[in-house]
Amino acid sequence: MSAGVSPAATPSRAPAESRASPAELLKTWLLAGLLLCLLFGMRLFLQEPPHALFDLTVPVSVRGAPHDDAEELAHHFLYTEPFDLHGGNNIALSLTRGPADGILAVTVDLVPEQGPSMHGVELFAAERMSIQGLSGQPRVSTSLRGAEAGHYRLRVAGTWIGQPGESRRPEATLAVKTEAGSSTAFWWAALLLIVPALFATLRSLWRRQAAKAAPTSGGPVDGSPADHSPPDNSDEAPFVSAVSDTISALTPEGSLSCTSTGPASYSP
Amino acid sequence: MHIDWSSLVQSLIESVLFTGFGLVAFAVAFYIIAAVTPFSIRKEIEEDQNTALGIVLGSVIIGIAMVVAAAI
Repeated sequence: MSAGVSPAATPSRAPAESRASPAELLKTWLLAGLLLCLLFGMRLFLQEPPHALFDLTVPVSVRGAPHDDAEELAHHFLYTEPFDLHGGNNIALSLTRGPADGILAVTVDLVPEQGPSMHGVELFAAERMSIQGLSGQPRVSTSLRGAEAGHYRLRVAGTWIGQPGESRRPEATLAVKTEAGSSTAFWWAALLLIVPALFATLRSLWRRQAAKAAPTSGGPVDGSPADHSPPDNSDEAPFVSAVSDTISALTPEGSLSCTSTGPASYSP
Repeated sequence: MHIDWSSLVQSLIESVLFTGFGLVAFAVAFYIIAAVTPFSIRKEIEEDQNTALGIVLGSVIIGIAMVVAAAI
């Protein structure tokens, strides 16, 4: 033992009996692996992944044209094929292509196959389209939120207000997909946090029980008294023990002041 | 006052090792999750502003960190 070093202040390695056994180490890692597999198994909304529905070419009417055909096209809607929507899901709408100038308004209605009710949303592509168009990816997104489960169609129509006297009719395309709503996300988030929290709690309880059952343990956790009892490594994870032992083994002989009969203190 | 430099160095080495191992384990787990996800996480969050995916991904990150911390 080095001179001037009190036993209480010296980190010591535990006897082999108080160390994590290979079986405990294996169980710990197997449990951690199983939990990670569980997390991976959920695979982030595999049950409700973002699912592409349509890529639509939106019919666009023009206001301000010399031969104003807005009236004609006012009822020129595009109806999509029917599709199933799960409860709480959103329908995400992205205007992926449109005119770089003027104001384009695309109206999308969610039309149930049965029942008169419908939800509408409008995508206005004005300055945002122009600004984001500079990057080459004009995009305006929104979504129909929290629709009830059912069988729906989409009714789509667009109106463009260009320069006075403008006669051209711009093209617009719309990407439609479903995605999980926020309420669903919170349920998944809670589940994904409860599982590892439960694991951490059980792991801690397991270690304490193992420490109580171990005949060589029993030193105070805080390590305050220098009673020369074997160190209590009950809160030390098996992996920590293994690495600590490795570091101790690699330390040049004599540089550690106390290696075998050290007391209870352990400073992680 | 006596300073036990050997224990200090040993604790420092252990801390660095555990930190590095935890970060590597976390990075591997996150990479696997991103790999098995049947869509682009970056596109969904950055371009399509998928709030739900952001919420779930945040909880996954915290969950992985908890498991890694408890395991090591």
